Amino acid sequence: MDISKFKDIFVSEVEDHLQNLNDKLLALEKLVQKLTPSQKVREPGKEMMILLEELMRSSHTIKGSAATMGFNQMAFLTHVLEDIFDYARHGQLDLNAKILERIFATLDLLASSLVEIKQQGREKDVEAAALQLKKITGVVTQGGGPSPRSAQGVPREVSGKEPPLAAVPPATPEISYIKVPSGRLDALLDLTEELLIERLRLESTLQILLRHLRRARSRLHSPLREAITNRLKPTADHLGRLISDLQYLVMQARLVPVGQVFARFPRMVRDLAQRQKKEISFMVSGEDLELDRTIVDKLSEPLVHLLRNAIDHGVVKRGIIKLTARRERDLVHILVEDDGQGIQWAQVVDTACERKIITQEEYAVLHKNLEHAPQGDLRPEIVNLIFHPDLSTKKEVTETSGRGVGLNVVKRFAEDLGGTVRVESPLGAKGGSRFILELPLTLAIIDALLVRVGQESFAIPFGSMERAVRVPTTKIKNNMADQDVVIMGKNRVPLVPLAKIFHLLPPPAAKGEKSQPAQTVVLVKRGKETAGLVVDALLNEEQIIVKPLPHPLKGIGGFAGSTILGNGETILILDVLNLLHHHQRLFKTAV
Amino acid sequence: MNKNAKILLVDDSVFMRNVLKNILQEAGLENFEEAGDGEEALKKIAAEKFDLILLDIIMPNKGGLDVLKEIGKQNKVLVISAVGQEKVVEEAKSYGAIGYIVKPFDNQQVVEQVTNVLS
Repeated sequence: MDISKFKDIFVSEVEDHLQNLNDKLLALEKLVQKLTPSQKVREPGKEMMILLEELMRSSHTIKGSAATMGFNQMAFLTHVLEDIFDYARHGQLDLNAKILERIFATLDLLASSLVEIKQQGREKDVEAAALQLKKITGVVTQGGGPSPRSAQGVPREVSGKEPPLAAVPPATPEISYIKVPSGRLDALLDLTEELLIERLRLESTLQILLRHLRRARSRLHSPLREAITNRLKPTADHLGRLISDLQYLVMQARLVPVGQVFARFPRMVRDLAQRQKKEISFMVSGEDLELDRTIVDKLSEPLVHLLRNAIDHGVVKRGIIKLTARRERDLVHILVEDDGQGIQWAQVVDTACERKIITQEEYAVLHKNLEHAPQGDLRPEIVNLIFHPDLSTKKEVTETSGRGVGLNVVKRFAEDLGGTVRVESPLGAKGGSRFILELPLTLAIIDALLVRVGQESFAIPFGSMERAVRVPTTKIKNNMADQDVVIMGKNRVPLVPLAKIFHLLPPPAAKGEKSQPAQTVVLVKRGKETAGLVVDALLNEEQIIVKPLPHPLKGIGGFAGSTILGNGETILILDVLNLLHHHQRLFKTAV
Repeated sequence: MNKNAKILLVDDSVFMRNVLKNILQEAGLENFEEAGDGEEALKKIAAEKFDLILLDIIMPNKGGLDVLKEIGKQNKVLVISAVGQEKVVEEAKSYGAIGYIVKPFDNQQVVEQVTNVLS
């Protein structure tokens, strides 16, 4: 038998156990900190016993599996961990802060070794760490497999007379789960959509058949017509409903709880707080809320930024940081809140002026607003400053402004997903800040405007567009760099002729006309900039299912994916950000 | 050996259950049930008769020794565990375990012991 075929399942199971170890160790650390010196860990209480049992069991399971896979170093290191928890369980080891710190480090090491196993199929050399851990804890562990565990002369009951776990109400969840590779879910969704297309074909074929039959009045055709209307048609309709249900369920299956991302933060916050000698209690809620896998996958980075900010600049000495997820109509709100000093807006405005993000005149206006505005009622221009990339690039800016590290990253993340980020600070008289990420529930279905360019249809996501306008041809100017612009109010909006970019022929009907009196322009936003996409016609708005482009097509740029319309037509979805970026580059090189 | 023998694999690690199942499938067996902890195992054992039970020791919601205590005498149980302490092995045998294999195991050893029990 080739054991390596079990690698994936091994990795995923050890990942879960490492997460469990981290969680339980954090809980244990909290208990240890509450102990008076005389209590210490010599006599672990009931609650602590349960944690130690759990820690021991997870270490033990990793040990057994790692040894079976032939990762003997990992087996040995987890064996040492198992012994440490077992010693502590029997009151033979004082789990002081130093040892706990070392165990946390060990968990990190195991995690990185697991990454190596995942990527390269071989484990990290962790022997030195294991030996050191043995030394500072004094546990006697031998070999990667089972070792004589009564080496210290103390009997070790593996399943004690009264196992502490029996005291906990069994928390066996009624729902059972299986792990499914995400690629399989994507494939399932693809197949469902193909079904959808076939159903549409079936429907239109039926219509054609019926039409023909209605014309042919021969009596012979009557049973045939009967069969189609009374049997085939209802079956086709039913099939359609089943396919819709199936599609809905497949979409549901792609949802994962945000807890998957949240799980790693208690540990991170603890580490950062400790490093900065701050006392932070971290509260997480709403972990069960479910979001599309694609969003959850991307959520980690912006949340790390927000939490770091709260620890670095929010909380001064001790405080509370809350991470909350909650549903608000068809959006998900993810909140990062601290009860710290709040954002020093005056400093933000000062720095923005120094960095030439705003002009002197703007500065004067904003400063006046700051002085006179009631608490928390700031002009959006001020609030937006903290998301400006230039405010956060330099280190000294961070220190003086107090906020701003990577906040532009957070903003970009939210916008990329068709969401927004807001900030509220101060929250009360004492300060405090709250960042709110508003995200769509799913990325797979979006509202889009369908447009026609040449003889092709394209979809423009609502999230990236402002509005559509008819612009008289007379209002379109051509500047020196052969760039068409249209004057709208005070702004000169550059136009992006899609037909030209995509090299599309105009529709046959339009060929005859020399010049059109007006052009249809869809205004799209990219950060603060606005640009106009020139299209031939607006078709309609529709909810579309986004299908990512397969590998070789992905690199083209300008397209966010494809979708299949109700009539079975496959069209491309424009990636507006990318398209503008691309176009601008062309334009610049032309200059 | 009876290829249709019904086997219950009890281990809290899905990985471990998969590995064991694979070894036994290669040996020609095909009838498996699985349980992820002691309580689940007891429920399944109460519901149907198994020709052989492969049992882990350290598991949540009732460990292997407690399972053995309840059903060890009336069932054929082979313990497969990373716990190698003599005391535990003896205890398991006193509850009726007919064999004790220590992880990491040699595949051949597992196949031999299982075949012995089933023939």
